[in-house]
Amino acid sequence: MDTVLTTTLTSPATQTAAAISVERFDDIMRQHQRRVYRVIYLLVRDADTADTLTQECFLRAYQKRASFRGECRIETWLLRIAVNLVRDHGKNRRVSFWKRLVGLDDGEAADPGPRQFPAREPSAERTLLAREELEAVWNALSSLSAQQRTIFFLRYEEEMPLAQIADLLEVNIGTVKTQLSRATGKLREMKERQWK
Amino acid sequence: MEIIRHLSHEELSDLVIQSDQQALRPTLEALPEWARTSTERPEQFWQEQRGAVWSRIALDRHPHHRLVRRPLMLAWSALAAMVLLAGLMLDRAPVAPPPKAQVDPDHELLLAVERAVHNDGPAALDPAALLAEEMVQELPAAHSPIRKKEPTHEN
Repeated sequence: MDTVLTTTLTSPATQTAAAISVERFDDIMRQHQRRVYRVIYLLVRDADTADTLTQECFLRAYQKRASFRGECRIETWLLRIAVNLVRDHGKNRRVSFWKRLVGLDDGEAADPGPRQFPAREPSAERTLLAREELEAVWNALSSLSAQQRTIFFLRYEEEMPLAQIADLLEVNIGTVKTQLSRATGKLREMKERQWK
Repeated sequence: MEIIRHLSHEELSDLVIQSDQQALRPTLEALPEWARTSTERPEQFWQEQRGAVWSRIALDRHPHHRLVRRPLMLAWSALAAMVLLAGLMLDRAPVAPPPKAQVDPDHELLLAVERAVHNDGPAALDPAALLAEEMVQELPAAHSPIRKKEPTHEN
């Protein structure tokens, strides 16, 4: 067990003083795993990939927890790791194909493969309808860049302020607004075409 | 005189976003609910996910588990490298020139003699050639290179 000092993660001042302890990390994971999973799922459109990347996100967060200095909120820090993982996902997929081919990829030892969980019975129909609606939004935004889609979902699904999105993506707020206007414009164009 | 202030790029984006938000209000308002509903999972899923993360962390902290697989990985990578190298070498190897025929002096001499024998001489010497041929045919058997063994009178 690590002997790192425990912090409450509520005050940035205390966060800068000490790294995150193992016990505290488990709490962080419980608190943020749903949100991290949801954002990744919206960006990759695949439940299994979202699960794998969420695990990877928390693994990286654990490895880098000593470097977390509390300059931003912990959820911003986690989502930044998640968004970067999604960004690298395409590239990693190509690389892992070759790694698997020559037997260098030991990912299967840690990843037990896709897990099947039955959807909750009472909300099965509601889930299906929600997924259909989400599919329509995904399709409307499919021609946009990954960054534009990320900004759109962080703004309207996660209801994140523009400044926080800019901080998370490490871009200026003007870029966030420009990219967001393109995304909303595209969705509006698609919706108007549907209504005609 | 009225001064018309041009909007900055950022202000223009703000206006576009506001206008789009108005038009897309039902969709944008419903989006968080759709996303949450689509990603609803039973508690077991989240527990297993946390368990998987802790397993990976444990594996990461005790890398000797990975070392077990290392020889196999190295063997595979060495094999792959060798195959690649062999492929490159085969691809780049210069085409060997066809081997030169060995010159056999005896064979060359035989061919020269054969050519000389079959070569026609001058027409003026034809009668002489005929005469020489007849003389060769009339040579006594004694002059033949194969001598018959003469019977002995010893018995």
